[in-house]
Amino acid sequence: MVPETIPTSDRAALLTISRQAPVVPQEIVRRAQAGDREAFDELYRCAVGRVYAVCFRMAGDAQSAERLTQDAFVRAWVRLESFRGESAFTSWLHRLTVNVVLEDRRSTGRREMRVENVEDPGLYERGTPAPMVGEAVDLERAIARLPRGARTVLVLFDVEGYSQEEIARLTGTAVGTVKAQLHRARKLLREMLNR
Amino acid sequence: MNEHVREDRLHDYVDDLLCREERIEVELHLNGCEQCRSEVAALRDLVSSLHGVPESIEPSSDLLAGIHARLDEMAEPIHSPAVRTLSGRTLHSMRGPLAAAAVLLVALSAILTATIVRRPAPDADTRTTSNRSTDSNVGSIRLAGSQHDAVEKQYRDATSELEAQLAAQREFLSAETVQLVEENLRVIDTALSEARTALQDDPGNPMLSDLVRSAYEQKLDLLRNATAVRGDT
Repeated sequence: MVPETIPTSDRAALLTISRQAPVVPQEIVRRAQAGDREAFDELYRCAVGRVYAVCFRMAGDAQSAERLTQDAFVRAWVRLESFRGESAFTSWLHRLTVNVVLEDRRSTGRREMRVENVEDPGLYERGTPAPMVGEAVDLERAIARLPRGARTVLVLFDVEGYSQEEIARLTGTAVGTVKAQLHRARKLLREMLNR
Repeated sequence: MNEHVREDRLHDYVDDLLCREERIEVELHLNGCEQCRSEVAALRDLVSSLHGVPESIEPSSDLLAGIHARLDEMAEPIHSPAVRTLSGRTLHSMRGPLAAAAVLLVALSAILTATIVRRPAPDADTRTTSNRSTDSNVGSIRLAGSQHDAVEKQYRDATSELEAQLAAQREFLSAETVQLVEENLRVIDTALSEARTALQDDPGNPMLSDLVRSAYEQKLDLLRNATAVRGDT
C-alpha cells in the first residue's frame, strides 16, 4: 500500500526521534576485546538499534534486517581485536555493518528489486519500532519500497551521511551512477509520499 | 538563463556540490523562476526529512540468542574473538599440525641436507643409478636441473602472488592469526632456504629437489588457507 500524502512541513519534526548515537564506554569495549561475553552483550544492547536501523533501511525488510544485524554482531566479535579506538566504537561498528550488508548483497543477490517483491506488508510492520508512527512510518515504508540500488545510495547519502565518492567506492560503481541512483530515489520517494 | 536548471544540477545545488560559479548561476536563475524555486524547496524538504530519520530502530525480537548460538559454534578451547572459521576448521585448530609439519620439514631438511651433502659426489654414471634408486624410494617425479628451475619459478610466482594477496588482507585479519601465519611462514622459509642452499651445491640431487618442492607446497598450502580466511569472515 502506497502511503497517502504527507504534509512535509511537519515531517522533519516528527522524525527527530533518538537521533543521538549511543555512547559506548571504552571499558566495556576493552572487556569485550578480551573475550568477555557479558561485555559484548552490553555492546549489543548499546548498539543494536543503530545497527538494526542501517540493516533495515538498506535491506528493505525486517526479516533480512534481523539476519544482517546478527551477521554484523558476529563479525564484530570476530574482528573486535582489530578495533584500535581511533574512532568511536559505534562508528567502527557502523562501517562494519554497511560492509556486511553490501557484501551480503553482492554474494547472494537475494533481495533484488524489493519494490516488486514486498507482497507481505507485515515484513515492514514487524520491524517498526514502537515510537515511530504516522508520517515517519510512511517515509520508512517509502524508502523500503525503493529499488535496491536506489535505496542503497539514498540511505548511505541522505540518511547515513556518506559522500558520493565513498558510496561509489563501497558499491564499486562510478560517482555518476551514484548521483543518478540518488536522484532517481529522491524522485520516486517524492512521488510515493505525495501520491 | 531562460531554460530551467537541469534536475541533476538542482540536486547538486541542494547537496552543496556545485562550485562557486555554478552555484551563482543556479541562484541567478532561481531568482526569476518560481518553478525551479519550488523544486528546490521540495528537494530540501525531502532531504531534511531524510536527515532527520531516527538513527536507532529497535528490532521487534531479541537477536542476542541467535548471536550467542553462532558465537558458541565458533568457540574454541582457547577462547578469543580472533577465532575464524576455515572450512569447518580454524587456524587455531590448525596451529598444532601446521607447526608440527613445518618443524618436521625443517628437521628432515637439516638431516637430509647434512646426509646428502656429506655423501661423496657421484660421477655421471653412478648418479644416474643413484637417481633411479632414489626415485623408487620417494616415488615422485624427478626433474632435471633446467626443469627444476622452471618449476621453482612457478612456485616462486605462485607464493609471491599469494603473499601479496595476504599482505592486502592483513588489516582484516586478527593479530593472532597474522602472528600464527608469520610464525609458520618463518619455519617453512628456513627449511626452504636450507634445502635451496644444499641444492645449489649439488644441483642434480633429486632428494634436495624434492625437499625444495615440498617446502614450497607447504608454503603454498599455508598461504592459500590464510588468504581463504578473509573470504570466510
